[in-house]
Formats: sequence, C-alpha cells, structure tokens
Amino acid sequence: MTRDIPCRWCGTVGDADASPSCLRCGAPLGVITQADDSGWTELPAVPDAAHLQFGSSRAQVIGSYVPMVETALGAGDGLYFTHNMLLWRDGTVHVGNHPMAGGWKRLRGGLPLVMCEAHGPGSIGLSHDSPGELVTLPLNPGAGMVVAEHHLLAATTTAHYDAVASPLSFTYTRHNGNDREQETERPLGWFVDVFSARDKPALVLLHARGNAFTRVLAAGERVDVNPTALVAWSPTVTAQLLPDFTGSSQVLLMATMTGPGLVITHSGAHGHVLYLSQRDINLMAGGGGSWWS
Amino acid sequence: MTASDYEHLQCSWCRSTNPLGSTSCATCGAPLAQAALVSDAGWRAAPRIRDTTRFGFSNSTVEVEGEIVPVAEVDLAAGDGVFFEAHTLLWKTESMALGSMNLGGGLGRLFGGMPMVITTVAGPGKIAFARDSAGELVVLPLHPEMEIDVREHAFLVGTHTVSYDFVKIDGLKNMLHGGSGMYMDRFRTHGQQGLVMLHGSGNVFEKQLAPGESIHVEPGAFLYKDASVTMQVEKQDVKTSALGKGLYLVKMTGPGRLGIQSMYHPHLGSSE
Repeated sequence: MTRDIPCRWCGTVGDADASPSCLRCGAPLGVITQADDSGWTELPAVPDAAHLQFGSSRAQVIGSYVPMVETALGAGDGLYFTHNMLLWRDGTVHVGNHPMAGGWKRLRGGLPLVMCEAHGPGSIGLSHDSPGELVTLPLNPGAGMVVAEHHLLAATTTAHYDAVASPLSFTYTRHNGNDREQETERPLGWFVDVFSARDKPALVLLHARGNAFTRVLAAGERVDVNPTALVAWSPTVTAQLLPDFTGSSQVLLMATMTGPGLVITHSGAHGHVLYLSQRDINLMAGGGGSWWS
Repeated sequence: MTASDYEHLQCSWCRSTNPLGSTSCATCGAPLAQAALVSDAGWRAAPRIRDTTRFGFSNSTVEVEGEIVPVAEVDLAAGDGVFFEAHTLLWKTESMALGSMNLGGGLGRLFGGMPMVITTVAGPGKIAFARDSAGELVVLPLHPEMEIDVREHAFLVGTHTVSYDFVKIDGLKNMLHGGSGMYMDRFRTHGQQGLVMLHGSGNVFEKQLAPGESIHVEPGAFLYKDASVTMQVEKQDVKTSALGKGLYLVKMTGPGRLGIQSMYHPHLGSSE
C-alpha cells in the first residue's frame, strides 16, 4: 500500500513512504504551506539530501546554506549551465559548450556568451555563489517560465532557452545643465531568460539569494515588487517598471506584476533607487517618463 | 568496571571517542546524535557545529558562536598557544601579548598575495576569530605525523602543536590556473596531536579518495586536502568567452581526503 500525496509545489503525486520529498521537484511531501496575510508563501525548502529524478538521471540536493546539486547523469541525459556553477565532475562526464544563439545581444546585455553542457554517464556537482535556496521548476510540455538574469543554476537539455528583452525598463528625461537627456534604467539588465518545455518535460533549477517566496496572482491582481527581488514569473504575468515617488530626491522603481500567474521572489534583493533633482522629479511626474506615454 | 565504562560514542567526523551522553564531540564539536550526511557520489557534509558548542585541545577550550559567519572563541590556558592571520582576529582580552611566527620566504609570500606575517598568541586569556564570508567552520583534529594542505586565505587558527609552512604550487600552469595562487598553507603535526580550524564559504564537503582515484574539481572550490593527494590542472574542452578563454579544472588524485566549499568566486583562469 502506498501513501500517495500530491506535491504542493509542482502537483506531482508521490509516495510519501518511498520518498519524503517529491522526486520531480524536491519539495517535502505532506508539508502544509500556508500563505501569509499578504498572500505570499515561503517556498518549501528542499530538504537536505533530497532526491530528484529526470529522464534516467538522479539528482541530490545537499547542503542547506549554499546547496550543491549533485547529479548522476544517465546516458543520453544532459544539463546546461554557466561555467561558474561547476563544482566538480567525474572523469566520465563530458563537458562541452552548449549551443547558443544571439551572441551580440548577449554580449551587449552582459550575459554569458557561452554555456556549458554536461552529458553522462557519471556524476557532476553544481552550486551557486551566494547563500540561498534552490528553486526547482519542473515544466510540462508547453509550459514556460521567465527568469531574471543570473539565477539559473542548471537546466535539462530538454528545456528550450531564449534571452528576450527585459520588460522591466524605464526611460525618462533628466537635465544635464541646460540640455535634456534620455536615460533608461534596467534593474534586471537588458534581457530576461525564458525557459520552456516543448515536446518533453524539462527541469530548470534556479538559485534564490536568501529565502524564496511565491505568490499566485489572480487575473488582474497586481502586486508591486522591488525589481531586484524578482526570481521568476509565469509568461502570463504582465511585468512593468513604474516609478514610486517618495517625496524626496529618491525615486524607487518598482516592478508592477499583474496576474494571472505565479511570481517568485527572494529576500536577497539589493534595491534600485534613483537619486534625482527636484527639477527632474517634476519633469518625470509631469510626463517626462515613458510610463505616461 | 561495568559494561557501560567500555561503551562510547564515536564522532562520525573526526572518529574521536566520547563518553555516553555527550551531545557534541569533545575534540571537534560535531553533533554526535546526527549520522554523517553522505551524498550518493560519496561527498560527506562537514558537520554544522551548533551555536555555543564547546570542544577542547590541550588544556584550552574553543566555543563556536554564530551559524552564519561563525566565530571561534578560544579560551587559552597557560602554556597553550595559537597562530592565525592577523585580519581574522575579532577581539582578545587585554592581558594577551601578540607575537609573530618566524617565516622564511617573505618576498615570495608578498608576491603570492599571502600575509607576510603569521601572528601568534599564548595563554592565559581569551581571543576570538572569524573570516569575512558566510560559511562553515571546519574543525580538523590532526593526529601525530599528519600533513594537510589548505588553500590560501582559508585557515582560521592553528594550535601551538601544529607546525606551519607554505608550499609553492608546482608548475606554472597549476599556479596560473589552479585558483589557489602561488602557495598553499601546509600544516603538520609531529609527536603530538594538533588542531586546525578552517573557514569554508557556503557548505563544506569532504571526499575520501582511494589510491589512484581521481576527481575533477573547480579550482575555486578546493579547500583542503591531505598532502598525499596530488593536484594537476587540466584545461577542459570548453570555451568560456567569445575570445575562447578556457575552463580549467584541477584533477585531484588520491589517496587521501579532499575538502571543497560550495560557494566560491570563479578564479582568473575560468572567468570571462
């Protein structure tokens, strides 16, 4: 007899007696996650030593601080990642370059120009470079997620990847002496990563700095988020960057996220504040910014 | 004598024996109730030492405080001493006089980016140390006649029964792309037991390599190894930038222990 429990993160039904954590995403099975009064839910932390499976491969998450994902790659399975995620590999694992398009736009956007791709059989260990949590995104065929730059730890080679222009940019006019200049702010960089599963399921592993939180927005529901707190969101969520005036020389640029869909944030945000003269703030408030157009 | 006089708890990290009822190892501070966490590939997680855990060496006591950037607070008994890099010192009691270790190769250390002076202090008194990144305190009790190599800027404190040296990394390729700089710290015990404490960034994992067994490790992740483990930098068949800059990994070959840290900053050899 099995004790089948649906995973509260990815929905996959798993036998809690066979594995205390979901084999598709690593979330603990049977743990009730509750939204706080504001509607945010702390992401269920992947327990130390939890296993995940994809294809004929088996991954294990170990370490609670800067977790390492150790993957025993089955023959025919592969992972891609940026080279600075690699901790170690067995001699039998082949690491080469992952084919990438759009070199010029990646260079201009400060994205890594090349990624690595590892193929089994053999084991490989990956980790990010900051304390935080692993966020697993199992994608069914047809599903996708938008991910802020530099959060990717690894993705299975069944996940299609593209870098698209970030919707979180804001152009405004400011004075430079007697001249006026156009300035553009891009708190998440020029591009965001878009991962999707086409004909096969895929797994995308992200690293959130600090703790990770999720919120499911209903259609038309809006939440304003510090843009650097964003980790990922559903393609159905509309993201826009708007100024928030504080009554001083500070202007906060906030990401307004409008549902329907999922938003994932992390607590390791660093903020994005503009310091402007009162004349520039008046100009912005009077329509000198692109949000009015 | 009763049967329980012969029973003891063995620490899964340092293998020292402890009296029944102990909650943490008296030699290294590891929690005794928890089994060692070992990954499928054989990496053993270094024990996360609980806040305010105490353990000892000679007649002195170490108390670990904090779990994010842990502090090692040493209550040094008369006759005991420790050595350290000056910038890891947090505070000390007024009565303690600092000294310095007589090191050779000052110019080499200067060029190698290592501190020119290793600072010493003798008991009695209290002194505390910490490194400057979030991570784990790794306690390595050394039996007599042991020798370990540690990447530069990772050692926190060594006890007076441990001799300190630094070894030049062999080979220009190893030096340029090995991620450990020009030198490694070498700690050696002779007739007596000693203790070395390191700071690993993020989580720390250890693997026991069998004779001839090899594993490829990101140079920035290397933390420590037994002196018997050899290291050889190998260029991988991977480009890391438009200019084709290569990715270098270190091939570590046993026998011996190898320790890695999960948080590192990519070194020059593989950065873009």
